[in-house]
Amino acid sequence: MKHVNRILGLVLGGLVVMAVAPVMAESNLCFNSSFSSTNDPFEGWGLDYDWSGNSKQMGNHKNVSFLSEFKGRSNVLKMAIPAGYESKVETPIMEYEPGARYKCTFDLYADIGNVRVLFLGYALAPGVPPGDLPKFSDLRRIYKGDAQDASGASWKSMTVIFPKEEISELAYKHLKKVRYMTVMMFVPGATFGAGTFCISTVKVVKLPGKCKVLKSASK
Amino acid sequence: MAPVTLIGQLVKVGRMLNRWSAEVRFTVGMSVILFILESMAATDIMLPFQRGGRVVAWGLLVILVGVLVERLFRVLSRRPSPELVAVSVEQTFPQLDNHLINFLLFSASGRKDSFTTAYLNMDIPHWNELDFRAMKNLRTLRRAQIALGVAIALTLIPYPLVGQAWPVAMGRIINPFSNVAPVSLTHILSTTPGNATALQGGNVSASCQVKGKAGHEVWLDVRPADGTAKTYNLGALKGHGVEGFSNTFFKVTTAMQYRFRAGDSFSPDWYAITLRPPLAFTAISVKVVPPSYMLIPPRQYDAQAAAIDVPVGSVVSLEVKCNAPVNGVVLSGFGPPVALSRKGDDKVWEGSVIVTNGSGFVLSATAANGDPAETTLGYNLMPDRSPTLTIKYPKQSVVLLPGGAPSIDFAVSDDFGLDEITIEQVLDTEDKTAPATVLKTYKWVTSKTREYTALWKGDIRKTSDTGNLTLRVVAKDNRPGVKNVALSSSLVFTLDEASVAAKKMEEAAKKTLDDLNRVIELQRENIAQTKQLQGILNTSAPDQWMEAGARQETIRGIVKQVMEKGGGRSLGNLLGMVRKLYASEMAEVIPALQGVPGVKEAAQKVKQVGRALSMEEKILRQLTFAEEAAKQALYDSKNNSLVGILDGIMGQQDKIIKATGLCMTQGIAVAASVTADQDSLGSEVSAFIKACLAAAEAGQGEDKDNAAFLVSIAQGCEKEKIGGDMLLAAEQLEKNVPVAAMPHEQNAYAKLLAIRKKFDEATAQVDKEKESEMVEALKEASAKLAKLKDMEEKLKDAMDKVEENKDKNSKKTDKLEEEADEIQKNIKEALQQVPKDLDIFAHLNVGNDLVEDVFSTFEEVTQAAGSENESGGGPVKEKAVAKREYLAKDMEKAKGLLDDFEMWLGKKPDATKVTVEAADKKEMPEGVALTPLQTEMNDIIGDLLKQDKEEAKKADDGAINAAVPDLEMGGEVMEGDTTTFSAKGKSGNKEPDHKEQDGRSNVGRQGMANGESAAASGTIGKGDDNIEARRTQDPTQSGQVTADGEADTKATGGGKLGSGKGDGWGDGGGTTRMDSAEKGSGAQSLAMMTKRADTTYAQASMKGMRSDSLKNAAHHLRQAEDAVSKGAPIGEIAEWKRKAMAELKKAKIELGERSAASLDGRNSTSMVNDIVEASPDEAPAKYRGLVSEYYKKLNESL
Repeated sequence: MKHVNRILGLVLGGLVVMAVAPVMAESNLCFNSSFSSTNDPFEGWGLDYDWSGNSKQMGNHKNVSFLSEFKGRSNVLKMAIPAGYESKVETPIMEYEPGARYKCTFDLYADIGNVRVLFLGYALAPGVPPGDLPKFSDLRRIYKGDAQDASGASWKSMTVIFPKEEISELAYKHLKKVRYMTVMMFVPGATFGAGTFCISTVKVVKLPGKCKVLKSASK
Repeated sequence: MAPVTLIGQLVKVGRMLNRWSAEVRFTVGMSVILFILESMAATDIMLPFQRGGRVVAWGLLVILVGVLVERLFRVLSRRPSPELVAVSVEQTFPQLDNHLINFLLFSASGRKDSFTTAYLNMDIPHWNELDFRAMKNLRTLRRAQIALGVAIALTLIPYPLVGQAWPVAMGRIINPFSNVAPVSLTHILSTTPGNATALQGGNVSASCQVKGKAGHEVWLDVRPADGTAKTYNLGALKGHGVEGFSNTFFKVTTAMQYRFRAGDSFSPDWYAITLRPPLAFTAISVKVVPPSYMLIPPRQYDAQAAAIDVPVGSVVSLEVKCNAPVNGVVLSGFGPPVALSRKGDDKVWEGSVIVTNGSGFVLSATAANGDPAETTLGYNLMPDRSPTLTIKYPKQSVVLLPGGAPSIDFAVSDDFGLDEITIEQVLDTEDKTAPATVLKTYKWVTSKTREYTALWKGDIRKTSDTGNLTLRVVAKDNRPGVKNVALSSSLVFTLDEASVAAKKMEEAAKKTLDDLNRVIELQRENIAQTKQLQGILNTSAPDQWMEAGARQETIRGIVKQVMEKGGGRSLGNLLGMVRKLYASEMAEVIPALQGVPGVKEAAQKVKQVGRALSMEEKILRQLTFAEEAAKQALYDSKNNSLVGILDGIMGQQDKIIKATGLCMTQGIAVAASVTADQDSLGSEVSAFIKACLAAAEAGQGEDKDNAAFLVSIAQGCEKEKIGGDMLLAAEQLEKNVPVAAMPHEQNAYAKLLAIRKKFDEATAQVDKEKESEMVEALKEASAKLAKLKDMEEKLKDAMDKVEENKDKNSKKTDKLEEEADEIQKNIKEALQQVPKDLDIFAHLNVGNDLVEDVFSTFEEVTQAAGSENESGGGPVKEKAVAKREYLAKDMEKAKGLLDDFEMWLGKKPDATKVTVEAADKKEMPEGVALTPLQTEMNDIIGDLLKQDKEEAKKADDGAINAAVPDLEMGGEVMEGDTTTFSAKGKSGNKEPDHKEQDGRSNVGRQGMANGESAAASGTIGKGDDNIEARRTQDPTQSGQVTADGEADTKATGGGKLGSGKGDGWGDGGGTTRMDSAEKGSGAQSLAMMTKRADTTYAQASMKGMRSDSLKNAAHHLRQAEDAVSKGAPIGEIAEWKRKAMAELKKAKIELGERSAASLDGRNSTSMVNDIVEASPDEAPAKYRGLVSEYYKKLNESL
C-alpha cells in the first residue's frame, strides 16, 4: 500500500510540474493582465483617450466595467460600445526590445459585428525625453501589427503576433523606431452599432528569435 | 217533468258544486300561502333577509294570493252546464241509470218520434229522492282543512319559542317595505358617514355605534369599485352599553361601499363613498411682455408645461382655468398678493402683474365646497444685470516708462444694451470722493449695442510724469432710470524712472531665480532621500515616504508661486514646459511616493519607486532648464526698459515729423502743442542718456560688456547731438517754419533709428553665438548617430548570425545573442544620451518653429490568398456613381475639422473601377472651403499589395471633380471617389489609380495627383510610376516632401511634387493665378501681412518674447489667403480676418507689454487655472523643434 501511495505521489507531482513548467517558462509581460491590481482593476490599461481630443473617443473610459465573473471567465473587462462610437482598449504599455517578436493571447467575447485586435508599436512623441514608462499621451503610434478580427457571442481564444517573422525594409524602417508596444482591441464605430465586448486572461510573451528583414521587399 | 224545470234544477246543483270546489281550493291555497310565509319567516330569523330578499318573498306570496283569488273567481263565476252537472249527478247517483242524461239528450235533440216523446213523458226515477249533499267531496275538504289547521298552528306555535322575533319576521316578510329590523342580541345603532362624498386622495373615517352582547365581534366590510371586497375585524363588544368602532381609509382614490356588521345583528345595507376630484387648475396661460427697452418680443407660455422666462419689469398676464367653480383666485409669491378677477363663469380667472423680483408665482384658490388648491409656477427672472466688464490689459499694475502710452484693452457686454463707457482717471489724492477725470467717452444714442471691445490708448508719458497713473473703466447699461453700472478695479500705471523700473524688474527676476534655486535644491534632496529609501525599501517606514511626498508638495507650491507671479513671464520660453510639468509629473509624483507603503507586491513596489524616482529626476532636469531659462530671460530683458524709452521717443518723433509734413504740404500754421512736444522730446533724450548711464553703472559688476555697450550708447547720443537737433527743430517750429524744422527732425529720427539698430545687433550677436553652439551640438549628435548606425548594422549582422547558427551550435548561438544584447544595450544608452545632449539647449530661443508635424505609421498586412490576380480576387467590378449635386453646396461650407475613426489597410488590392458622373463646371463653386489643418499629420503606409498589372489598370477609377472640405475618415484605407481638402489621406498599401485628382494631400505614394501638398515634410512612397508631367490649376505650395528611393515624382505642380529631392519642379498654373500676388491685390496684402506677422513672430522669439498670438494671427491670415485663393464665401474670409485681427491685437498687447517692461504688481497675481487646458502643443516650441530635429537626424542616419 505504501508503494502504491508513493507511486501515486510521484505521478501527481510529475503532472503538476508538467503543468506548471510552461507557465513558469513564459513570464507574462503584461502588467495587471488579470485586472487584479488592488489599486484599480484597470491600472495601467489604456482606456482614457480624452487627452486625444477626438470626439469619437471621448469618455471611452466611462464605458468600461469590471466583472468578477462572466460566462465562465473570471476577472473580465467589459466594454460597452455605444452606436457610432469607437470603443477601444489597450493593454498597459510594454517596452519593446528591438527586433524581438511577441505573442499575445487572450479570450474575447463580442456580441457585436466585429472586434479588431492588433499590436501597436510606439515611439516617444516629439518633445518627450526618454525616461521610465511614459503615458499614452506621450507616445506616437508608428507601427501596427497584423490585425485579427473576431466576432460572435461566445468566448474565443485570440492570438496576435508582432511583428511578422519576415518584414520588409519599409517595415523595418518603422520598426526600428518602436520603443514601446501595446495590444489594442477596438470596435470600428464607423461600421457597427451598439453592443459590448469582453476580454479576459490576457497574456503577452516574448517569442524566441528575432524578425528578419527581407531585402527584396517593396519599398 | 219538463226539461226546462230539470235544467233549472241542474244549474242550481252545478252552482252548489262550484261553491264546494271553491271552498276546497281556498282552504288548500291558504294552507300553501301560510306554509310559505312561515318558511320565509323562519328563514328570516335564521338568515335575516335583506330588503331584496324580503321583497322577493313578499312577491312570491302576493303571486300565490293572486293565483288563489283568480282560481276562486274562476270557479265561482263558471256557468255550470246541465249536461256536465247531469254527468256528475249520474256518477254520484248510479240509481238514476242514465235516465237523467238520456232525458237531457232527447229533450235537446228535438225529435218527435214516439219513443222520444214517451221517454220524455216519463219521470226520472229517484230524482226527487236525491240528496245532492252527497256530491260534496268531504274527504278532500277535510284534508285541506287539516292542512290549513296545521298551517295556522304553525303560525302560532313558534311564538312561544322565539318570542317577538316570529311576528317581526312574519311582519318583515308580509311588509318588505317596513324598516323593522330583525330581532337580535346585538344592534348597530348608527353608522357614519353613511353614504358620503369624499375628496379624492383624502382620508375617509367610517365609524359605528353598537350595543349588544359581550363577545360579539364587529366587522367592517369594504367593497372598492376597482378591487375585491375585504372585511376588517374591528374588535369585540365588551357589553358595556353603547360602544364605538371606527376605521380610517387613507388616501382614498376610488369609490367604494362599506357596511358594519356586529354579532348577530342584522347586516345593514351597504353605504357608498363616492369621490370628488380635488380642486385643480386645468390650464394656466401666461403672457410675458418685457419692458420695451429690452427689445424682447412678448411671449405666451403654457405655464404648466414650459419654463417661463420673465425679464425683470415685465408685465405678466395670467389666465387660470379651474376644474370646478371657485370663490376666488389669489396670486402671490412675487410681492403683495393680487386677487384675480372672474372671467366668464366661476371657473376662469385672469389678472396682470408687474414682476420685478421673486422666482415663482403662488396661485391659491378655494372651491365652493371649501376645497383649496394651490400651485407654484416657477419662473426664471432674467435680471437686467450690470454690464460685464473684462479688462484684458493690464491685468496687474504696469510700469509705464517715458515714451510709453497707457493702454487699456477691455471688453464690455450687457444683456440688454450699453449706454455709455468712460475711461476715467482717478485722482491720486487722499480724498476718495474727489471726482474722476473723464479721459474718453463711448456713447450710444440710438443703437442697441450689447457687446463692445476696444483698445484705448492714452497720451504718451513724459519724463517729468511721476507717481502713479490710476485709471478705471466705467460702463453703464441702457436701463431707464437708475442705470446699472460696472466699474473696473483700479488700473495702475506706475510712472517709475527707468533706472528704478529696471531695478525692480531685476529684483523680481532674482526672486524667481532664488525660488527656482530653492526648489532645485529641494528636489535634489528629495531624489537623494528617495534613493536612500529605495535602498531600504523593505524596512522603510511609511512616514518617510509621506515626508518625501510632502516635500514634493512644497516644491509644487513654490513652482506655482513662480508661475503666478507676473504670469510666469520670468520663466521665459519654458513657461509652457513648466506648466505641463506642474500639471502632470509634479502632481503625479506625490501620490506615487506616498502610495509606496500601500503597495503589497514587492515587484510592484520596486516599480512604483522607480517610476516616482524617474518623475523626480525629470522634474529636476526640467527645473534646471527653467532656471537656465529664467537667467536667460533676465539677461535678454536687461535692456528692454531702455529700448522701451527709445521706442517711445521714436514714436513721438515720428508723429512730430508727420505733423510737420502736414503743415508743409497744406500750408497751415504749426500748432503750439507740436512745438512743445518737440521741445520736451529733447528732454526725453537727455533722460534716456541718463538712464543708459545709470543702467551701465548698475550692471557694471555683473555684465561689463553690456555696461560698456550702454555707455557707448549714451556717448553716441551725446555725440550725435540728437537733443540738439530736436531743439533746433523746436526753434524752427516755434517760428512757424516747418520746412526748416523738417531736416532737423529727420536727422534726429535717423540717429535714433541707428541707436535702435545697435540694440538689435547686440541681441542678435548673442543669439548667433547660441545658435552656433546649438549647431555644434547637433553635429555631435549626428556623429553619435552615425556611430549608432554602425552599431545597428553590427546588430543586424549579429541577429542574422544568431539565426544562421540557431540549429547548429547552441553555445555559439548563446554567445552571439549575448553580443547582440550588448550591442543593443549600448545603442539604447547612446540613443538616450543624444536627446539628453540636445535637451541642454531647451532654453534656447529658436526663431522658426513652423515645421509641420508629419509622421507615418507602418501597418503589417497579410494579403488575402489569391487576391493578386483575377482567379483569386475575382474580376474587376465596375461601379457607376451619379452626379452628386448635393456636394456643390457643401463644398462652400467648412464645418471645422472632423474627428476620425481608426483606419487600417486592406488585405485585397483595388478591384473596383469607379466612374463618377462629373459635376458641370457651371455648377461648381469657384473654390472649396478649407478647414484648418490638423496640428499633426499621421500617414499610414504598408507594403504594396501585389496585383496583376492588367487588373490594376482595369480597376483605375475615372476622373472626378466632386469635392468636400472634409470627410469623417475611418475604416479601410482606399482611394475614394471624392476629393477632400483636409489632407487626411493615407499612403496605404495600394497603387494610386491613374487619374487626375486634386484637393489637399498628405504625403502619399507617387501618382497623378495635382493638388496641394499640405505636408511640410515627409516621404513619398513608391506607387504608380506610370505618371505624366502636368500643369496644375492651382499651384499653391509644394512642401518639403522627398522621394523615397525608387519613387518617381516628376513635375506635377503641387501635390506629389518632391521639391528639392524630387525629379523636377512643378509647372505654373493656368493663365490666371488664383493666388495672384500682384501689388495692390487683396491677396497680396494678405500675403504681406502674413509674411510680416511671421517675421515679427520670429523676431520676437529671437528676443525671448513669447507671443503665440502673433503666430496664431499668421495662421489665420494664411487661412484667409487660402480662402481668397479658393474663392471661398466672403463670410468665411471675413471670419478668418476677424480672427487674425483679434490675435494681432492680443499680440500687440503682449509685445507692447514686454517692451514696456511691465513688472509684477504689488498685489496682483495671475492664477494658473489655465493649466488644465494646456495641451501638449503648449510645450515650448523650441524644445519640441529640437527634439523633432533629433528624430529627423535619427531617421536620416539609421
